[in-house]
Amino acid sequence: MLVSDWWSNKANNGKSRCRIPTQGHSVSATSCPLRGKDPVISKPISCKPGMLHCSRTGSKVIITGWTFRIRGTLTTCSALIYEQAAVQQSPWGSNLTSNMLKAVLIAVFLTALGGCSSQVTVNAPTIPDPLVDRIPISVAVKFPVEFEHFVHQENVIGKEKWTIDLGRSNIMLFTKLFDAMFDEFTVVDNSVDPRDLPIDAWIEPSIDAFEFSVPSQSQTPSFAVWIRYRIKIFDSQGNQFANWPISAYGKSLTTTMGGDKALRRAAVLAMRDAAALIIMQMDKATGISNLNRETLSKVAASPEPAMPESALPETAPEESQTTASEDTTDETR
Amino acid sequence: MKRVKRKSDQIDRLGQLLLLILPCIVVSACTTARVEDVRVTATGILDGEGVVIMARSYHLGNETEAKFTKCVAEALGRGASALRVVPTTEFVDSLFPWFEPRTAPSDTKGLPDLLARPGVAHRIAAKGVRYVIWLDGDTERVAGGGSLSCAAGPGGGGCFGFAWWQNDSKSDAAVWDLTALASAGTVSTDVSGTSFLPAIVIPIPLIARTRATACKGLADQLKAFIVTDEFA
Repeated sequence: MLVSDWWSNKANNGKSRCRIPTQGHSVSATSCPLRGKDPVISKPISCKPGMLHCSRTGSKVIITGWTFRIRGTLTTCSALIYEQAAVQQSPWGSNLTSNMLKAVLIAVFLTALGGCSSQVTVNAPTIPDPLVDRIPISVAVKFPVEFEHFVHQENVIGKEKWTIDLGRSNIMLFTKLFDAMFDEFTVVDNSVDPRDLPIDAWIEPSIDAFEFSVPSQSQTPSFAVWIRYRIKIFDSQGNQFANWPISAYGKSLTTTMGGDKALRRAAVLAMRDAAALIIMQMDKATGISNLNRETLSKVAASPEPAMPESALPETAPEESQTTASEDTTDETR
Repeated sequence: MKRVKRKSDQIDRLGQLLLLILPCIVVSACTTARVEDVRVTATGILDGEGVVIMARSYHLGNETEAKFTKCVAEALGRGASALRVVPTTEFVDSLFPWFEPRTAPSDTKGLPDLLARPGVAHRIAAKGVRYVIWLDGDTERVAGGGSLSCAAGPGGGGCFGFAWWQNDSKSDAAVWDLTALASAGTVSTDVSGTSFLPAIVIPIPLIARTRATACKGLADQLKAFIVTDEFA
């Protein structure tokens, strides 16, 4: 509670002392008019000993006990006095709070300095139009919700935190890829039942795992990204026809401009690697071209099988787990 | 008379400065280079034909720096006997996915199959690419020593000591002739250089530019290799 604007005094050039006569009260605010202007002390000075700085250079208030010694050319000193009961705090309390605040701020600053974090965003990866023959079937694709906004975080213990945001780039990748690979291609919403559509097959891609390494982990000047996709293929009746995991890898050397660009490049290379693998191996590994309904109906009508029995949905394994990994021999090698 | 003396002093100082700088320039160019080529088939290039520079796949453990690839491509495209260099990204994207790190042929045996793929030969012809040059190489620090310490205070700072290191840039360029579907040969460079960093208050770096020397040496030799047909 404010008792009074009790004190006003003329002071001069650092030698004058402004004495507060009443014990048992605390000073909660003061002003030190300097040459007619009014630099406000930003902090309350309810503490007794200590030192406070006015916001204006050259005006300094030193509190020693209840005595204010004012440096600078001052005309008037004034202070507002509150009742001790209203303040109800230890004379050291404010100092302690202030010190703690300082300590916390310093700690936060040091933590921010030590524990740096980097965020990399892959918005629109360059996936060119593939130079490939189309598979003569009509397919639909259902993208999982995570493809809408895929974010991966990795903490390098004691060093930095890396976040990679792939955004909708997986949707862009698979849309471009399947659009070039199949005669007819549609993207369906998750609420749609593909069995109601006039299609030969539907595909559900997903990400099983996403990992990356930074130079401080690998002790090389490279960033590397591994993406493990899983492609599930269903026939027009909704039976799972194939379950194909693929591992893609991208690597990029650190540039002088920092690691963000290199990590982004490694992620795009990994996605392109997955695209290349899918184009080269998908039909071989899953036999998706055998799901053409016209061919299947001809086979059903013909007395002699026109295709291997293993390719037919009835005889194909319920869940054919096929893997095309890096060790698969490529045609061109 | 005073003016003449002042001018003479200034010339003396300039001379001393040049004497200090000159050894630095001379020593900084201290590299040893070895460039050689092995020719397998006849070469030559016609108007409208060009080359593309590719780095070997990282799937095969290659660590060729993008800077080096870019440097060689730029050096091939300028100066005497400049070649038409098709940008790597443009070439790889136009033939996607057949020149990706995973799918690119690792030797010339894969070329007939690759060119038999629908659209591939047509795209290569449209780009006017006659030769694919595969680069493989890196720069390594092979030795080093000495010690250098620096200190700074309110009155200033400075360094004292001597450090040195030796870099070795090795690179191989395999030239594939897409018309003959065969390897035309290889060009290789091996550049070694020692850099020095003496410091008496101010450090004076005398850097041996091994990578730049390797780039220039390789590009010059590649030009000679492709343009000059020694079998003709």
